[in-house]
Amino acid sequence: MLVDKPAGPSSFAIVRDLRDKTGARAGHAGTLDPFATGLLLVLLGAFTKQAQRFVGLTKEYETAVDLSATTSTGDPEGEVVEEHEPPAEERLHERIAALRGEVELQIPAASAIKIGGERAYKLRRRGVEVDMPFRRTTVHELEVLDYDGRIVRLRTHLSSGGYVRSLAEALGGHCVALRRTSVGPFHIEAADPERVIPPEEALAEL
Amino acid sequence: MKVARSPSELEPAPRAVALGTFDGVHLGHRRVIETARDTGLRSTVVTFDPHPRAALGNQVDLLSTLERRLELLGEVGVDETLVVEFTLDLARLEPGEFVDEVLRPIDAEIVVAGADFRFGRGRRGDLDTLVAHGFEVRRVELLEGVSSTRIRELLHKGRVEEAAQLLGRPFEVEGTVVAGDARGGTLGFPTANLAVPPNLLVPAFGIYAGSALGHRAAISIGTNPHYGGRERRVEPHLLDFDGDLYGMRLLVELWERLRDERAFDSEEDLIAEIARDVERTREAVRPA
Repeated sequence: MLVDKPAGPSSFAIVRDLRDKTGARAGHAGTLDPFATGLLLVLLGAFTKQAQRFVGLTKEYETAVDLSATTSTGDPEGEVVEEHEPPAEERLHERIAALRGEVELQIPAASAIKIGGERAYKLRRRGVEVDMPFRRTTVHELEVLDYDGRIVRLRTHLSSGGYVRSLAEALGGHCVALRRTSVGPFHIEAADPERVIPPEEALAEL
Repeated sequence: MKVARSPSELEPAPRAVALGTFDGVHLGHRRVIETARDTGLRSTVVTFDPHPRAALGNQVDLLSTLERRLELLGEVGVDETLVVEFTLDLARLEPGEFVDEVLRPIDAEIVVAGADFRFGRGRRGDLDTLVAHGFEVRRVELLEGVSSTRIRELLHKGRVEEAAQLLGRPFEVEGTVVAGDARGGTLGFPTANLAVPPNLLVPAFGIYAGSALGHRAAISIGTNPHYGGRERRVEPHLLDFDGDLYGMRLLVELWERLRDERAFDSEEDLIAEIARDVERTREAVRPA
């Protein structure tokens, strides 16, 4: 099922609602942060066992990044770490060019990856300081849609596991809005909370 | 120069300690370090890694890698450097705790730092705090206009000659040579494609004259707009050099910014312009 997640609930909450509604086993193929919106792939019933075939897909996003401050989480929910003068347009384009291609991006401290067997965001909540590892990400596309001197709107296409919040951090800002527009061959326009895509149709897309 | 990662790696001896992050080891830093070196005591730089502002979550474009910073400190001629890992725990130490954990264990007698040096929780400690803790403090007055922040601003504008005046040497871009588009060779100007660590400053896009491995080099920084490139590349073409650089660590000095990068009407025009860049590189003068 292709779901357009609203801002607010966690990805798991969406999955749980669908599980309760359909009575089928359910899982998703790639978390969206609670503040983010957009395409969530939900796998139902016996098809949850096929998750491996859906989790490694590249993803496209549209995001708005506030370049006047970094926050502790890379999104609007964290505390402001540092406020600064946003870059001039030319400097912004230089930074963006430096982030295209194969890049090493630091994984956000507020993320679900496991460090020493525990989720990073849980460690952070307990007050444990973690040196977050870097992850090699392929930035297939990173385009400026518009820039008003403080907020830049970007379109990006990332390899699986790439964090948009890390891109925002590397630009010296934080995400204020994030929308996933596609997961592999699946696009947000096709999202329909009423329609369960038959397994053979979904697999044929891959 | 001996490099230590913890106080226990340094043998007991009365020390003159130069305290600071010293990113880029510019002329102001050098005065601090030389003051410690010239005291007659064993001279020890105590420096921090990662950069304290970066460790606190800020975006910092570094002027040098730690490896390069240590090489430059060694060139100044101090006996030892202690690299203190800058963690959030360290940032939270009260000034007195910092003194007990870092300065006492290495028997610091003289402490040298820039007049604006601050340390400990909320940057509450300063040189007067160190005097109060019984150290002989040498306060090194700041050189007017010389600061890492100023150098970063100049480099972001491509003003490498002015940056060199403040650094006391040409600015260097450091990286590892990786596989590139292999286009330069077909144009007659083979380049090395430099992978630069993500937290290291790269100056404004453009074509620069400089050097690498003792050869003069014409350096392209940017996206190769003639070919519609989108990713940033740092590509030195070494003059009078024929060899394989693949996998090597390269330090590329930037002496002079020659021009903006741009697209040309034809490949012939591009080649003619590169030939002019190479000629200007032969005539360029190493600053500082």
